[in-house]
Amino acid sequence: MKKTILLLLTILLTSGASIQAGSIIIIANQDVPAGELSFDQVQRIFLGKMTTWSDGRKIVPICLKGGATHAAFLRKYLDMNPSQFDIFWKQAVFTGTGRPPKTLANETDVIQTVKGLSGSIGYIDSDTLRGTLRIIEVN
Amino acid sequence: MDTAKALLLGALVASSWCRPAQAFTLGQLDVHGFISQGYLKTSHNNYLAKTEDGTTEFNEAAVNVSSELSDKLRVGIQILARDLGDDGNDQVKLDWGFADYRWRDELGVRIGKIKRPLGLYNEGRDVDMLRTSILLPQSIYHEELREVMNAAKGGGVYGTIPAGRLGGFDYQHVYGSSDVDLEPVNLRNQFAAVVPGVPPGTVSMDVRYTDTTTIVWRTPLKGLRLGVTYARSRYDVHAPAVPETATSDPAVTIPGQAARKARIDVASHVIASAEYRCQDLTLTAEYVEQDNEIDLFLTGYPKITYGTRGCYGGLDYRFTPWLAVGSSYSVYYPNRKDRHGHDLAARGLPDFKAWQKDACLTFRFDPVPGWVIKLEGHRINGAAQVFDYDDPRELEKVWNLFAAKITYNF
Repeated sequence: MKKTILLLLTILLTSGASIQAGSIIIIANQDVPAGELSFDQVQRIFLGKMTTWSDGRKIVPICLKGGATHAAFLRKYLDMNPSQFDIFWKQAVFTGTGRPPKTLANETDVIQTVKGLSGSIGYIDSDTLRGTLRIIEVN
Repeated sequence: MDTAKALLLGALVASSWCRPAQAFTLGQLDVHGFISQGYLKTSHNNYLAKTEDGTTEFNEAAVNVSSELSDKLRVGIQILARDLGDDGNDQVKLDWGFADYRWRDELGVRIGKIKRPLGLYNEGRDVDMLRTSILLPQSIYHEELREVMNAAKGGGVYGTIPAGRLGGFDYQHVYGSSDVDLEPVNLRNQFAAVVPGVPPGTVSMDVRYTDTTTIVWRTPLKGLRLGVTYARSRYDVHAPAVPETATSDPAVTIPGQAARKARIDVASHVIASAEYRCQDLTLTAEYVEQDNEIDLFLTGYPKITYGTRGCYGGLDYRFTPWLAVGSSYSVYYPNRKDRHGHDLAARGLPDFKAWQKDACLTFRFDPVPGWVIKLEGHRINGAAQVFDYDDPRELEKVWNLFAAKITYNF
């Protein structure tokens, strides 16, 4: 858990963002070797164009099925609305060129899954994190 | 609507009540599918089907199964049944099926039957819920040529290459052949025209090869991607020998005809594509030029060359999660050296067979997950892509097309 928080903070620091109420946070399993990610990398991961971490381990993206956090994540990082994201992955499915990310019903499930699944990466709202963990802000 | 189709729609509605729209997972297998039923009606001219009287011969159904055998290896297969007029007739066929080995993100290999990556939308052309419109712009994605554009049996490579500040590039190359069914009358007539004097029903065709390469540039400008496709293909058309035929008068026989062959080379098929997405607005434009050569293998007859041209521009806007509206304007010339139809008119044909200009407006409704309903209207000037007529003087220059479609997918 401490390593997860450390990774989370590192990502926020390198992106120049502070943890504001209601902001989208990218979270990853503690064995993920990446200490920082660019917007382009996050986009490529969730669109299936980047499939392995630098150590060769498979990237496992985790998405929400819907909701405000899902829509905000798509808008911020992929510049898509939920319909466009859905269509992108349906195109991959019905042409055989890809498999959509695992989708979960709520952010609590996302946290639990990312904690336990090697190579996984997901996103949650910072308010969700405030309810479950103590957040240390770094200035 | 006939009884079979009514039962099919009833089954769709019942299945949507019984099961939410989500894919099946059977152990290591992912199962997805869709079913679409449409309706076409034209004010004049039979277009794609017998549309002057209205037709429901406009449907697709597909099921696919795929599995990740390892982190780098996937296999999958999709079977499809479709009907558009006399094309398809709901015959179940292999749509695609291949093994995909992704060695690295920059390079993967596929072998099997693979959809051809022509332009932005050919690969998903049969899948109604992937777009706002019912019909793709026919200047680029002509439905009556679907059989020759659809897929290739062979192999391909693909990958995505990050380019730092330049954005990134996605590429695909597919090479192979295919089996083309010349049963649809309009498709058969188009290829039979290269061996005149032969009954069209006796003509067959081999696709010797198709070779398709597409590169898409994800530019540094957020939301903008640009693409280019280059393809070549070769088709051999065969007409069997016709024996001498006796008549009731022993002194008179109808001469026979030797077997004939013609070769159609698509020497160059180039598509330039652009898509710009800004929040809920998507702008798209594509342009195509195709250069063809026909060799009749007849002494003293030179090769016939001609070139086509087409383009369209379109926009889609999603107003709400359940409503999107799209519009496009598409132009097609089957012979870009006769865009005004002067040569056709000189031969006694309508000049408006030299072009087809199509303005389209679509309303797409996503009422609940898994269901899509669309209503679409076209105002069309020209009849370059209208082939179902006995006398070209029957054709109308300006005509309307109405389309409706409902789709369920899981």
